[in-house]
Amino acid sequence: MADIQWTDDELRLIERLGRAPQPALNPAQMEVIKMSMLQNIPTAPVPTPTPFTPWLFALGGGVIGIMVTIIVVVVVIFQPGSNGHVPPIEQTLTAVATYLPSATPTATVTGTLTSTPLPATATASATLDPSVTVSPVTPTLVVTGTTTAQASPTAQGTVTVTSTPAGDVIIIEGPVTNININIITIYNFTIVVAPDDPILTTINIGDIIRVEGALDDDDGQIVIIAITIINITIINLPPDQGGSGDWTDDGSCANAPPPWAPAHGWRRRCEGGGKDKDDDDDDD
Amino acid sequence: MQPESALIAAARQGDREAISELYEAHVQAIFRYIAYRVESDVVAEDLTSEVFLRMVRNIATYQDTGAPFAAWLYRIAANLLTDHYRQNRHTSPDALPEDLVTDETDPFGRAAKAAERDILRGALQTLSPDFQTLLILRFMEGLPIAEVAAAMAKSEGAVRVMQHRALKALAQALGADGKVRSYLRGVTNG
Repeated sequence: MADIQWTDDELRLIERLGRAPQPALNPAQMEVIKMSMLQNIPTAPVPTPTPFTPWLFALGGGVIGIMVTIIVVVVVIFQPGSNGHVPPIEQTLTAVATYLPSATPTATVTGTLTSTPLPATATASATLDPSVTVSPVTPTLVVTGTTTAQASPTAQGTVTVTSTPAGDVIIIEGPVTNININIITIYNFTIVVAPDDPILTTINIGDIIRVEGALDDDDGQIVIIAITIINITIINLPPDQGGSGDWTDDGSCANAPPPWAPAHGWRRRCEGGGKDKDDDDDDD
Repeated sequence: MQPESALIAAARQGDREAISELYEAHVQAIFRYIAYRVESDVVAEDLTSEVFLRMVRNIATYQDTGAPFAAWLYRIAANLLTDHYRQNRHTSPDALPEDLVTDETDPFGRAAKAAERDILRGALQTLSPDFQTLLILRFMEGLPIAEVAAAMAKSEGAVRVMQHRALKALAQALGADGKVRSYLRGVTNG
């Protein structure tokens, strides 16, 4: 109270209050109040058992079951390499298309398999190998399959080969390099013909043949339309040395015949050779 | 004796010894505070008992904010007094009981003290509850301003200012009774 400015009258009143009679409880009264207080001390709260409620238990079990299911699904989905999580898959699909009886080309299917949660459908472009002189065959391969989404996914499915437009003709032309019963090889192309095809009795290795085939609209196989033996006679013409290409002996020794032209006696006459006529004819 | 914080912690766990120690430490002050604010010591005794019943029922939820434990008890007492005034608006103070403990052996001295106490109590009860509490705790019990402020849930500054007004109001109440009029002569607000 030292920091407070009091008036004299306030100080006198404060002093009076300080000296005011101090009522007090006697010991008996204190003890009565104390006993009353101690009897009312609350005992430690004892947790009351929750009555058994089967429906609540079942509900809790159901909730736990749902949570476990969700956790399992989440784990399966996000586990690397699991069936659920299918990351973008890029892979090379290889399929073999057998075209019998005309040929056995190999179709290499290269494509990108975009895999979404199963099943997956992939569209791929393809080139026929061997690529024949062929033309307008632009097969489209539709690969439909089911991926087993694993760390190394594999594509399984059927390959359907179609051609657009239908009925295009495949022509293979060249020398027969090998004949094995009913399999003819032209360059590196293998053509399988029917075992009783009469062409097998007439062709020989070295023959130049022309094979025409067409894709069957129904089963996608190449059907041989015709096999023709061409047997072209190759004439090895000497290379052009210049000039007009013709030489005529005008009787002058200054007009020498070109190396590729028959001299017709010019060498015997102008060069003094002693060979006979036949030799002259062959001296080129 | 254990520190009060340890007693409070033990009392919160239902320790009867700790509760008894807290009771014995504060019961007389609580009784004095109540006794100056009610019409009789019998009522004061009942209300004091109720204060400590509420203490044991609520001590488990007591939040030790650093304020003295007595401040919490004074607030309980103040709330009980508010309820008491509401229920006994027109009752007049009873005569002082004969069994009040006093150190006065002289019958004349005892009578004089009883008269003084009656005067002060009468004057106090004309004041507002806040003024009563402030005057009793600050000047009769001699508590510091901080403790009074905690008991009244007011700031120390507010208590500091209020005490001048409370003293002035008490002086006026005593003067109106014709017994301490001389105290008011020359009073200035300080």
